Amino acid sequence: MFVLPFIIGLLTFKLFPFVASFALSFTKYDIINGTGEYVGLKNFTDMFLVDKLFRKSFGVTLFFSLAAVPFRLIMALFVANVLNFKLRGINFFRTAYYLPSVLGGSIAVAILWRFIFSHHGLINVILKKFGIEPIPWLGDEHLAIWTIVLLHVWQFGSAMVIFLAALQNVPVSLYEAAAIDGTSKMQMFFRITIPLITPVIFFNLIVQTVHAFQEFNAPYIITQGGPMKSTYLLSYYIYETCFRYFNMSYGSALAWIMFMAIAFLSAISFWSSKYWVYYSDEKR
Amino acid sequence: MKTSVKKLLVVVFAIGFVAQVAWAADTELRFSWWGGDTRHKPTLEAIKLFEAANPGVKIKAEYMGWGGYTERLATQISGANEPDITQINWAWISTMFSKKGDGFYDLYKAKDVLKLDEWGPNINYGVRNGKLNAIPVSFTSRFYLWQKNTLEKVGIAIPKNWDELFAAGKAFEKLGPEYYPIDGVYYDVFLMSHAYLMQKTGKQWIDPDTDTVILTKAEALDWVKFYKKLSETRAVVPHKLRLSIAPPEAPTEQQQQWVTGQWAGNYTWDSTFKVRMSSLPKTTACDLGEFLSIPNPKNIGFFARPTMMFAVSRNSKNPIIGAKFINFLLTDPDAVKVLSNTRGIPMAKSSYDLLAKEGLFTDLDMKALAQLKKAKIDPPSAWLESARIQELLRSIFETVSLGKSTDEEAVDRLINETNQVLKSIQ
Amino acid sequence: MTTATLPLPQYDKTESRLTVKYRGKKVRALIRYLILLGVGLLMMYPLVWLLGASFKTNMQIFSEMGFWPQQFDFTGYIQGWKTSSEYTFARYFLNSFMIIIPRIIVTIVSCVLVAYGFARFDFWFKKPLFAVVVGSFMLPQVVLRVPQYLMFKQFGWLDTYLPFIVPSAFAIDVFFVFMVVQFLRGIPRDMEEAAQIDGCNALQILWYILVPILKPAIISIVVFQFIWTMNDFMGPLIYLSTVAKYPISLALKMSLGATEEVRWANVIAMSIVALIPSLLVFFSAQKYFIEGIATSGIKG
Repeated sequence: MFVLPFIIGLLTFKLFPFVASFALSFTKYDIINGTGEYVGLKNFTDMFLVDKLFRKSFGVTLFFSLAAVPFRLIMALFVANVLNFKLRGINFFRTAYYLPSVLGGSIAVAILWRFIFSHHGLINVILKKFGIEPIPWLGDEHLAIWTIVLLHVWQFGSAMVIFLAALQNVPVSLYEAAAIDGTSKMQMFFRITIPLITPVIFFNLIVQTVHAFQEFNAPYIITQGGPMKSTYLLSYYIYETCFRYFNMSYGSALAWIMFMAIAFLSAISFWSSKYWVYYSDEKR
Repeated sequence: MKTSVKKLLVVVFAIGFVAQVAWAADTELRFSWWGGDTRHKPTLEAIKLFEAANPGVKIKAEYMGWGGYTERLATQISGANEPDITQINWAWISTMFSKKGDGFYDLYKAKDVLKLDEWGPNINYGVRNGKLNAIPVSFTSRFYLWQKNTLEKVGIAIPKNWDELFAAGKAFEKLGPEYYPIDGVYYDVFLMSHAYLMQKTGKQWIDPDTDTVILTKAEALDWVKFYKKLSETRAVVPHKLRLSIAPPEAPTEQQQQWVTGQWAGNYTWDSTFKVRMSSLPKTTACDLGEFLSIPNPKNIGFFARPTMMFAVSRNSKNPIIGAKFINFLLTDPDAVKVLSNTRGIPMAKSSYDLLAKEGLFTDLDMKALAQLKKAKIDPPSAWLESARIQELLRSIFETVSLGKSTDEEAVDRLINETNQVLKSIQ
Repeated sequence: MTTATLPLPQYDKTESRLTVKYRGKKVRALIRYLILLGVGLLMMYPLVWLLGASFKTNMQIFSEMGFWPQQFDFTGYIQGWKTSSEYTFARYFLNSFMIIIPRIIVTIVSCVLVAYGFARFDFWFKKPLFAVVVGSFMLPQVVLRVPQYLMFKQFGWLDTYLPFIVPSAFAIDVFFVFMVVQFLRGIPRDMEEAAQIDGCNALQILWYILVPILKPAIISIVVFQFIWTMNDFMGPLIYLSTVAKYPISLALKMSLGATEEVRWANVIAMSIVALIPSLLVFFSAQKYFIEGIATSGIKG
């Protein structure tokens, strides 16, 4: 039970802020002057009944996650697979593919993404060659969200690294045995690789869902939530509520709703994991 | 044994006492500011000058860039841990940190160390509910900055009034679809149309005396229509196009079209002239244009306010020294020489005169000051700069620009919804 | 078992791809290589562009998408390194490392231990506790900022590096705990059971058997924690007020004042320099990924 001291420490550090923010969500609190009053469920009823922006933001975030997570996972797994062999310079490639994640929210990404998608940007220049009129990617409320999705998918590096680590753990002997039996590569991938790394796929699914819901950098540096709030992801809304409007109590309420949404989605994943995740350590 | 222990205790106490006295003699105050490369070094030098003139006082410099400054200050204030002296934004006093007037130390209490005459009536910018929360450092206003090269290409002079601006819009179209007279940053366009509102009616959107909207429906409708006219006549870059090129808060100087001169003009703060010109090729000549107006305006409509202010924390243990330090930075000739115009054109009279004598104001600065002198400046309501109102006006005008709401709906929001929001945040 | 006449599968890690015998495979390999390279360059372009921009003037930066600078002006690096503050970038680098290295060490120790506890042992409050652990990772950090600040103020840890290191010592980075748990659950227990029969206790099993297998996961922790801590801006922003203690993430933004001219080449040059450690860490971590192969696989 050496785990215990850590658990206690964890609870101390995590618990207080958690409880504090949970309590905050039931108040109307002015952090500057330290005054507040208990308002019960008002923050939550306001959120669902009055706050149109919340509904829009939540919808946008849901759409974003449903679009971005599968793409990101597939890209990450595919690329990890491809990068999983010993080739001269493979290190260089892996670093290259991981690079977008390291760049994160840097100004280079902001400037370049604009260069690519702006009205006179790279994509429109290419389209012009095909005789297509320039498309206002960033200016149109139906299209802007895709630029964000693409940015998120482009930064698949961290998921890829985890998949790489998992792929490394699959014993070579299994592949050798299958090769002798005459299995094709495709079959090997689907019959050997995937089942053995399902715990990690599951992990990445949960983690990526959380990350997608909590995506902040992309709207912050590229679109600032617009146009017409079509890229106003929930975590950006929470950030603005907390640190631009200094409405910590409402921000906390928003955060806890986001938490519940994520928890709900994760619970579904956890429940379904019984059916498709294979744990090698299961006592059969 | 006992006596030697006693002796030891006495010695320890003595040392502790002496140490405390010696230590206490060195008072330390924390001073925070935001800025860039040009501001940090001179400020550090000015601090050293103050420390030399006030032995026993140490000023700990806590500086950073602008990004994150508000968040950090707000977090510190909520934990009663803010620095003794802080550089703040004028609007923060009445809209955020000192709504009731007691958010900062009342500097009237320190009037013996402050040369309050230097600022004259301008000191009122820092007063809230009778308490002096902060001292204004410098003043800035919005002007029309033009790139002359493009205008010469079109063959027109710098527009002197609205009609000439609209004519310029047409003229620019001949150069090509990328050419526009003014960069249409939505907030710039909003302020331009707001100037028109003041020129036509003499009223501001949010009346600074009552902090509510007192426009009539007709006045607001006229305003919205003018706002639309600016895009419709191609006088400014239309919103949708601008959005598809850059996010709303991306500065003009970072846009390719400004660098190449396709967007010839910018309605901006005089404190940002240098920044706007920093990405232009050396061959571009810039000049200040007349402040665009209708003939015989009720109020010229300048949007002017203090650039920044210095305040003393209400939790400070040495507020008088803090006030002394502010006075030093803003009025002491040596400090002023060192700080020069890194914080803009000073509001303190003697400092202003000193810098003018040293010839530190550029041509553009002088032209801007000349324009200001001719006009009667009405301070805007601080609530205009509060985050919630900024968000509201952006949503109103974005929907108008993108054609998503009728003018009447916009008018209703500008009056009624704004008043509701104002009530809820005050 | 001869493998001499059979085409070697793609996953054979012991032989370089390019020496495979069959020509068809060679061509396909070349195509794959080219695609990898092409897409890789796409991924890398922002960094290449950044590199070029560090030599450009403001005007060039904002009007060109091409990366090749018109002149090789190194002042960006020189001025950027000196910074406009009282310290050079060397100081800020050192600060960053002083935060990152202790943090990585304590994170690995605590997360592996806690994950081991969850994955291999049963205790009566395990399921709810695990749910709490995983759940805590789902709340956006931003709302915890102010309460955490107040808490650390009570402890007197403001303006020190403790708020960064101590929580990690208690496995607060639940992401890693969760990750290691999943890895562990993918490892069959046979070897541990064998060791148990031999008389090893729990900690010995952990150290001698599991840790070597967990190497790729541990290396992942190092890489992620390094990069994420390096890029963390909000944390240092509110906890540190002394300029001398600033890490790189804060120092990089120090020249970006609101109304002042920015010489972007300086900012970009330093951003690149700041990226180098992260890239080096990642690059060198690669060899541990390969080493892991030799020890994975159950020796039957």
